[in-house]
Amino acid sequence: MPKKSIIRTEKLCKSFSTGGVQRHIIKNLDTEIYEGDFTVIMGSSGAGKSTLLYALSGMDKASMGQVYFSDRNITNFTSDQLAIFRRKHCGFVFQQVYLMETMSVMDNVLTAGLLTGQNKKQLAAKAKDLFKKVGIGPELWRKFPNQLSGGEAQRVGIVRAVINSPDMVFADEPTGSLNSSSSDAVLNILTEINQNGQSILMVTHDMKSARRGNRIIYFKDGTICGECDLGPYKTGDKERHDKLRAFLTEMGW
Amino acid sequence: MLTKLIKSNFRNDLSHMISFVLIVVLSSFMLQFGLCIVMGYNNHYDTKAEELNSADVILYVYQYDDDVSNEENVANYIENDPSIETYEEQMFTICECEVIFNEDNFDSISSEDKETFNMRFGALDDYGEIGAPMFIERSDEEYANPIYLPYIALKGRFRNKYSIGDEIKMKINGKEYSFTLAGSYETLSGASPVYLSSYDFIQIKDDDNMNRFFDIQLKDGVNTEEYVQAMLADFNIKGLDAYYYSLPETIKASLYMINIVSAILCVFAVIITLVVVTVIYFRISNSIEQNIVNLGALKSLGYTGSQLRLAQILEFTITSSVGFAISTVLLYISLPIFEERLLRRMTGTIWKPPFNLTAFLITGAFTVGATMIVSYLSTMRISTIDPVTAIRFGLKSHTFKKNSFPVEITSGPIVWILSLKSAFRNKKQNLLIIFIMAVVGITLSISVFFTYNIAYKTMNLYKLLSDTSSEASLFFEENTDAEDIRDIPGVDKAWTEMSIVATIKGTLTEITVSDDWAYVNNMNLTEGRVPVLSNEIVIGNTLADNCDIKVGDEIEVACSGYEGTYVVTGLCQTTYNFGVVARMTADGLEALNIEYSPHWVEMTFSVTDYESSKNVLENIQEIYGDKLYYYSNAYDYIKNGDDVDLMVAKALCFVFIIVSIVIIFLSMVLLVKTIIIKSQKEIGIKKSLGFTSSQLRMELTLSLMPNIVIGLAIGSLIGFMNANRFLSLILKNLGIYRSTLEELPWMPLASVVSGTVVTFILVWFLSHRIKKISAYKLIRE
Repeated sequence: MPKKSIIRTEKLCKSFSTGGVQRHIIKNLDTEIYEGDFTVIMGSSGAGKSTLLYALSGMDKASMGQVYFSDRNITNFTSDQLAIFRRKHCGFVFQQVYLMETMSVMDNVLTAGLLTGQNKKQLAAKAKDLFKKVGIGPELWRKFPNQLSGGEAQRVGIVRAVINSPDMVFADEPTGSLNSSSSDAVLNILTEINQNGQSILMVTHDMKSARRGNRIIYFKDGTICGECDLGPYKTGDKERHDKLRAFLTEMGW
Repeated sequence: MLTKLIKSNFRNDLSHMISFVLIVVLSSFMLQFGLCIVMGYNNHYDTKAEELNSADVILYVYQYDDDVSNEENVANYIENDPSIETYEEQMFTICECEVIFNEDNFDSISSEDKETFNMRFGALDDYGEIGAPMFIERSDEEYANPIYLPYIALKGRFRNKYSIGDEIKMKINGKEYSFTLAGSYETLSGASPVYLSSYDFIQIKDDDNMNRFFDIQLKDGVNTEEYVQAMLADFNIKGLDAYYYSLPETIKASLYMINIVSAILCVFAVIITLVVVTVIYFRISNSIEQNIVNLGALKSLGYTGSQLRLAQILEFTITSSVGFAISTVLLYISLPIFEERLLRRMTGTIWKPPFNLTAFLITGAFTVGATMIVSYLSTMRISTIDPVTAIRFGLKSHTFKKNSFPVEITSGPIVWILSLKSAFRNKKQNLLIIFIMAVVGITLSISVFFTYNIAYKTMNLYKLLSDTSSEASLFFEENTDAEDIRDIPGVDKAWTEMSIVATIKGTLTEITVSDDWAYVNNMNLTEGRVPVLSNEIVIGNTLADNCDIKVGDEIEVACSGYEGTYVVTGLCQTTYNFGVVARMTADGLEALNIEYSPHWVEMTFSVTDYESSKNVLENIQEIYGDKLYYYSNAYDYIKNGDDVDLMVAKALCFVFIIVSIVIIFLSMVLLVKTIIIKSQKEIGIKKSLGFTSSQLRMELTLSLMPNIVIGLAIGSLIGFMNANRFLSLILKNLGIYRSTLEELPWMPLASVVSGTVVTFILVWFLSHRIKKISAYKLIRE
């Protein structure tokens, strides 16, 4: 059965002007991201991976071309239209987490959830359930972000990203600033929610993180150079690891 | 190195600094303006008196053909007085004249169409050297019937209706004349004459009513006020009749409004400066919190704490110095315009504002000094920053002990909940907002109070400043009583009055006499009760203070060689004669051997608008016919708006409102920008979660409202409860000890509501910067 496309781009371009010099980060990109996939965008540092992620999510506007999200062309949405679109359809997990420091853990999550008009009681119950699943105990719910460890904060970030059951979770280097054990915990959560049907698009330059995805896209010089289908993730799958390594070697990583 | 740091601070803070400069410009402009005019005019009168060669005392007596003894005795007294340096004698006539403003209504007796007063007339060719007219404007053309007016009369009594070359229609001693305005002149004399050509003067002069004037200059070192009191006491003993004007009293009368305007401007300048220093403290504290990592990094690079502090102190000091410099330039550009348009009308003299070094230094020291001190104190924290801790952890105080209004249990839309959370999060910011808005509340409630009592119900102020709170005066040819007038529709109260001049404890006092004070609408009593019995008297607060008289005391009143003893039953307030007044009963006059023969009636209306009051007076005119020769209606003066005092009072109302709006605007500009910069990370995160700009703007606006309303409420109540006290304080020198303008319960509410609405709109407008913050920018940075 063919996969259903969630995001589709047509001739997507993104340029920046720095000191009067135009830099083309994304060049005429035609691609599709599929429902239920754990898609990973890899590439060397400065290749424009994050730029691509945010252009696809509607966080940033394309310079040219079209972005279709669930068959809706979001390219010409206004900032406010994009904001309303994001709250319903997208969840974000950032490298720096970006929890609101002035709010408790619970408030951070509920603030995102209430934007979609959900019932507060049901939402709180859902948040508590998700917290339990990611290992954030009740003793942390009333804490402030600066009272959490990096791993705990990122797990809260993931709960915030999925609280609205978005069509797609966009993760930008989610383990970039975590130690090894915290990284594993975060990746396990992402893998688990993907296995429960959540579509994820993740940017990383870490092979260990990339191994969790079933579809690897290698981004270089403003376009997709190659793709690799790793299939569903299994713990201790050496063949998967070798296949990814070979793909990346082929891509010149 | 330091220059680079200061430049960098300016670059980062440019928009803040522009707002800051504007608020400093306003405060230092007001302070320097107030100081300049109060100091300038005090010096101005000394030099002007010399320039105009003014008389220290002007004494005049009536000439009687059948008895020349009084005038001769007075002349002898002056001739032999060792305190007198020099004097000149001139003959003038004091005539009753009517200025006809509306030729179509030539026979009207209404104050709307004409003004009736006694005026001193003289021939232009006859003036001497003392107090010779110094022309402000004079026509080059030769007119057949020229008239030269004191400038202050041209703008006051003549209602500012005439320019050079205009025809002035007048009735003098009942005969009609037409003159052409040929010039106006400066004077410091309270009895400045209207000059006519010699021919016209002969035509109008009343030989039975000529006055012999003595323009007296005293020897150096003689105190004019003491001299006048001693001379009057002597005259009283010797039974001489003479009237006087003294230079200090005239100057005092000219200065009172200048002093009031100056005091109000200075008070408001200080209030604005308080707001400025509060904002500086807030700005620097926030800047340290925001840039803690940068400050740590700079310290690690080798900058010392003192250098970093100095950079911030200099940034604000330079900015306030720039604001102060701009305000000084603006002041000296605008001061001549204010002088010509307003101050000259108030004083009747030309003042060429010189550069006032003292005002400049005081304002500079206050404005720039306050900025330096507050910057110095606010930056103390920088010295204690440890570079390593700052770079790694930021500020240690950045913890939140209480999660106010948890989202899970707080009802309402998410924007509302987030606003509540923000509103009670930052105590320092909240105190700042409450303080600033309390200041705004004070100025706003005083504005509402003044606007209501001055601009809307001008009659309230008119009554406060007037003698016995009457609204109309009726002048009759013969003795009259008020009984029939009380029955006329539209008349509320009516009472007869006459006035005498007597001496109380050596002070020449204007005494108003009425047959029944119970009819007087409001005597402006501040203590005690009205006089009822023949031996009772009420005196003005100023007189009571000057002579140490209290309610219950017995005082001697002397007039024309007779004396009576009276019990003080109360104290009253009035601006008339600066509060050196008294009130007694008609029966009380017997002791002074004076017959009560009132020629005028004071009255109040039961109607409250101009048209109705006019109809009532026209009806009275119809009833009394020729017996009534003139009436004045307070509603006319209010409607015309020519009264300088009312004009200044309205201008001050305008200043209050402008100051309130400017404080709101500039403080909100600084505050909102600071809050947005401080929370741009959170705004970016919220945008990434799907908050729209409008939601975030509403959140910010609503989050400021609780503290804004609290501040406004506190300030409005303080302002409301003290508005009359504040007014009493500034009017005390005028004789008003207890202002009783209307205080209505809705006034503080109105200032809270209007302040909240204005602030809400302003914050919403200023928060448009939120639109520029994007979630993506946050991530990229």
